[in-house]
Amino acid sequence: MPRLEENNMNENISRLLKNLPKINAPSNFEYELSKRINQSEQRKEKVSWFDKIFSPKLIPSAALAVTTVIILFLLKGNVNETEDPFQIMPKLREEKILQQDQPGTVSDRTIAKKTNIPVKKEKSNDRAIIDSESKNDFYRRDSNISEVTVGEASSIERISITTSNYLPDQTMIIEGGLNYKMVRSNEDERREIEVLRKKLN
Amino acid sequence: MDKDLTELSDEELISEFQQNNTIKAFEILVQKYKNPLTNFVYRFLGDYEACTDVVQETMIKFYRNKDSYQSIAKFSTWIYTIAGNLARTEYQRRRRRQIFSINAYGENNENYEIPDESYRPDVITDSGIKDKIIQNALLKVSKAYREAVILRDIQELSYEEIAEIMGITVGTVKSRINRGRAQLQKLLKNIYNE
Repeated sequence: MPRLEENNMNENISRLLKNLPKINAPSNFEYELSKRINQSEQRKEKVSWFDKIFSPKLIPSAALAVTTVIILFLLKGNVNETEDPFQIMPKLREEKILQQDQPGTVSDRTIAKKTNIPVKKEKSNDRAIIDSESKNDFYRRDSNISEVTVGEASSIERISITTSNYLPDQTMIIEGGLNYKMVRSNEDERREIEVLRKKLN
Repeated sequence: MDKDLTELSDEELISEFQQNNTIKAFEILVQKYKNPLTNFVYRFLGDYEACTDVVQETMIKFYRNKDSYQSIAKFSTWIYTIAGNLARTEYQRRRRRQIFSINAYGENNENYEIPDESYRPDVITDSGIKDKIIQNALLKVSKAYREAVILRDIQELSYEEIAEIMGITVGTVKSRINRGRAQLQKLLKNIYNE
């Protein structure tokens, strides 16, 4: 029953609205329309590029843009004056610690381990030191000196190898998948190496 | 050529206007839609001058933005959407202005009347008073419901077309029409009891 009433109400309202008189556009509608279209097109043509750039509408945004640029410029200048320590790249060390068992060297630690000789904990004696640049560059420089130190219980013997002692890279000997560097050594050094070898055997 | 144009559908006419910039096609479409749009906007705003401005603005938008029309939609839906958007904007603008002017009067605690300067063509018809009452009642219905009711009961568009024009679902359209009619029923009790 309420559904029927609703339908009746809808019909009545619809009928009332449908019976409303139709409102028409004024007789000069087209004339006014063409006049407005022409006016707007003429106005469009008159607007030059200069007016477009310097139009009052753009002034606030242009001012904002200029202010932003100035602020950024000032901030950037200040940043250069006071360096942020976290932004500075760390200085490269001229020395690079060669890890154990790298090609071309025999780690004194390995030797010490096999010969049961305690390794002196002195930092400079515990490591083979090479140049921080690439390995090839290192071998080519005469001025650089690398040291391989083997510690013994009572004394430390040093084998100083200058780059002139090294053969060029092409003379790398590969034996059983391991890389060795051929080192020219004097008589004393050879004797010491022999002693060490015997101990190892 | 003119004879051919008059035989074309709305979609073919706008396509002609888009592709060849045929002003005659534009004029035919203006001729065809100026009255339905005037009727729709007038019933929505209740002011003839404002409604004429809105319809002219609709036609200018159609002229300038012809390329934004895509053939997937019906031309009538597209033009009604433009007119509806402009009418809503105009309605909001007028309402803000009216609120502002009421506040300005009210500050001095003076008696005031809101002037009704709008020209109402329906006043001069035979059943002028009744039509005026209906129009006033229509203006009191919520904006969203009013638009749906006008498009359905006065412009006699389908639910699908109304949904497309208003950008809502068909279900929402039906609901809004029902609520709008219910509001009108309350406002027009005396009239349809006669």
